[in-house]
Amino acid sequence: MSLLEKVKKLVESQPLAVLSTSRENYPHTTLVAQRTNIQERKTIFVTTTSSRKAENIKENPQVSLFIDNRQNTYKDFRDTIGVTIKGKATQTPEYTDYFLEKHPNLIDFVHSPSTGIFCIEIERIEVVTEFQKVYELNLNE
Amino acid sequence: MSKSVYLLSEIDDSDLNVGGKARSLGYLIKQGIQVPQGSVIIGDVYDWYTEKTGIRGRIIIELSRKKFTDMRWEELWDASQRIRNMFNKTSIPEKIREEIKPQLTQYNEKKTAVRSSSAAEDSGQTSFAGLHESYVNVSGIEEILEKTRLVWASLWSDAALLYRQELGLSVDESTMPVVIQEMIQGDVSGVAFSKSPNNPEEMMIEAVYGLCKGLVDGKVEPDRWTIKRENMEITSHFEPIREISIIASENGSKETTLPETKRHTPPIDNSRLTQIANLVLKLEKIFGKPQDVEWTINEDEIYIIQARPITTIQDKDDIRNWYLSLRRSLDNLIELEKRITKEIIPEMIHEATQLEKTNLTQLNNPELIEEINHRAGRMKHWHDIYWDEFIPMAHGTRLFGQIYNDRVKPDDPYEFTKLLSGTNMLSLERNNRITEIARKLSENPPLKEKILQGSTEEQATRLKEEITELFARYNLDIKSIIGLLDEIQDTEKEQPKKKEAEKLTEKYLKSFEKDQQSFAEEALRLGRSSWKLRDDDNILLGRYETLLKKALDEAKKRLLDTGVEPIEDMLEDEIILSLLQEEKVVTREKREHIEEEKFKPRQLVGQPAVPGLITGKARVINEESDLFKFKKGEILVCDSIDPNMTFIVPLANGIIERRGGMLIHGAIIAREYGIPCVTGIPNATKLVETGDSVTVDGYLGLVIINRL
Repeated sequence: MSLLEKVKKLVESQPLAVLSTSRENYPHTTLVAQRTNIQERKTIFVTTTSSRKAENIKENPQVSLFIDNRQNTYKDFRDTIGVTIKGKATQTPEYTDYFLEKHPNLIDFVHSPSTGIFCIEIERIEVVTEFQKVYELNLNE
Repeated sequence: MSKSVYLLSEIDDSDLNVGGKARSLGYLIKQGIQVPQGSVIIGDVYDWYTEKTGIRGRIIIELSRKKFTDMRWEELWDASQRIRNMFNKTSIPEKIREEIKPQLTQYNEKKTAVRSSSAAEDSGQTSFAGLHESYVNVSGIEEILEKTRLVWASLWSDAALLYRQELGLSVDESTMPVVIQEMIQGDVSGVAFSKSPNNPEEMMIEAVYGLCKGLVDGKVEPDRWTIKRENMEITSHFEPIREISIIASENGSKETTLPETKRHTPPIDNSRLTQIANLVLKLEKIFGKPQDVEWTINEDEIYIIQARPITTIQDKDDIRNWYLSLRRSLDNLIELEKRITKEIIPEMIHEATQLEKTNLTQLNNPELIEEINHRAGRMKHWHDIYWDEFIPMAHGTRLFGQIYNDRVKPDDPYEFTKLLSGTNMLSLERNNRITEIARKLSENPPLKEKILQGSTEEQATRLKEEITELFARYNLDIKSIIGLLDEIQDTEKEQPKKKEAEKLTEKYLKSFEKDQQSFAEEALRLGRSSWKLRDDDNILLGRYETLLKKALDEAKKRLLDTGVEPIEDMLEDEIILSLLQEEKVVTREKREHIEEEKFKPRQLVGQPAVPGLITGKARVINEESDLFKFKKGEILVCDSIDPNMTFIVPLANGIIERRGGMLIHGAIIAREYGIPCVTGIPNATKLVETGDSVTVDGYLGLVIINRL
């Protein structure tokens, strides 16, 4: 399997990701439900519009997202793949159905007027395999 | 854990984790065969220890560096050595010691053997002899525990890694039970084959006075009998000249001369012989396969030390056998060293010097082709000798490394290479000559100018000749070479630090008992000699490569003269054919390029060959002319540093090589100069580009390509 295929498989199979946002130079990390399409260069996630991450994105839309498949055993150092996605996040309601296809259980949450649908336009992908092999893909090049 | 140590006689048919050897020994006891008393530390203790100390996770990380299929044998040895050092440096946690020590107290006052008993090994049904380690003459519980760790480590020996598929070796599943057995100090010992390798109708029994070690090591020639299996009739008896025997001593064993009476009497009489023969047949019947048996007699009792199936001749094409044959004893290597230094190397030098005398330009085309063929043949000849003699000799360095690590237990498993430094290697000598010339030129600009102008003045001509000789291999004008010398003249790379080596040598020698000093010294001497030869032989082989290349270059030049433009990487045959037919003949497809992935590497993992951390501009060597573009302070990125390009090394601030290994030429030279170096980066020259900012982490074996 090529590295790109491994990355696709990982982001599709994992429901959650760690999202990093920042405000006034303070980083902030949270778990979010995500749906990512590498080909389309998009990651969709949802959060309440009054959450700290949503507030942060208003000030600085540049975010980083981390998805991995760790099992929390010693084998992770051989078997885990970690993918970092970097890009700009904006609030765009048009991806609601697309997001719900993967996360039907979140229907009530997604349809709440206080919830926002966000889309990250992926600019860059970084991949770590076997503990310390690192590859990167800059989509702007 | 309910119980972690079992007596061999306690082993039953349950699925206790005791391994192949313990199980078959237990079975023999049940069948009434006498074997030395012993116990087995079950595999669960290995699991407990590797979990508790984190070693299991460390092995995973070590073995994730590179795919096995991409690893060279040297790299397997390196990985195995690093794993061995983990076990060697990590004592058994108190809790585990408390658990097993009380179950081993009966061995405290005795000499014991500590042997591997892995699942696949020596089960009496299959034979994977020699993949794992065994230790004899172990004294006391503390030493038993120490040797147990080394036997555990040998689950990951280079040989085991080589046969990982057959063994089903896996970090998650594999385990290593350990057998502790009392040593029986035999008065007479020997080996027996229930089926003679030469005649399946017969069996063969060999016997010596004293310990079997003398026979196995080849030091004592045995009496040898062949016996008809059918009716126990003795068909032959070979009597050697009996002079010495190996007997037990305080630190293991020692050689002693035989008294007159024993010299004239075979170690066993006919009735004893028949008794052994019957026993061996019984063992064959028990295991259902012809057996290779080690036996000993102590106070009139016959003990079976080992019984394993006779290894049928292995597949000769399996090149792994060749690799395993490289593991040689100190004595064997000393013999080899003599042959290499006294015969092979002088012959190599002599022949090269003769060949270098031929003036290629004076040969006509058919003569030139003959010369190319001759040189290619000689290169192949020496190349074969390189594989058969020099590579086994390189094992001397490893042998010393293992001895050093076992005694000194250093944090860095490659600390031993510091003791090997400064042994006047040919390539370092040549580098010193080059530096000297570079300095001479920088101090005397008019002289440099004269050489560049092609002056015929004596001093200039002499120096120019010397320069041309040093760079004979390269078809370059003097200007490019002098450009490089300008870079070289102000390098301040230090030569090895003698002081540290002296200190470490002292530490090493002190770790041995008085009566083992000469062994320790001999191992060090051989390690040094092997280290030096590893470099020298490369340089010498390089001379033959240069000879062939010169002849081929001459042919290419003639092709060009006839209007045929040769391509850069034409093969020998293609050049010859082209020269005969006066047109370009390319017989193969253009070399494949690696599939380019969109992903660019940011951090690559190789082997930490020389410690240190440095960031700089990469200079990738794709063709020879790139060498002469090298600027001081750049990071050298190449396929492998061949001995002919060693002169570039002192200019580099860091080194990245595709070829992997801690003891390859490039790593050896980098170590001598203390330049951070990472080896074994697949596709290094394709993934890094000249001008890239790269970081070489020689501590962890990482290469980082710095991009925004």
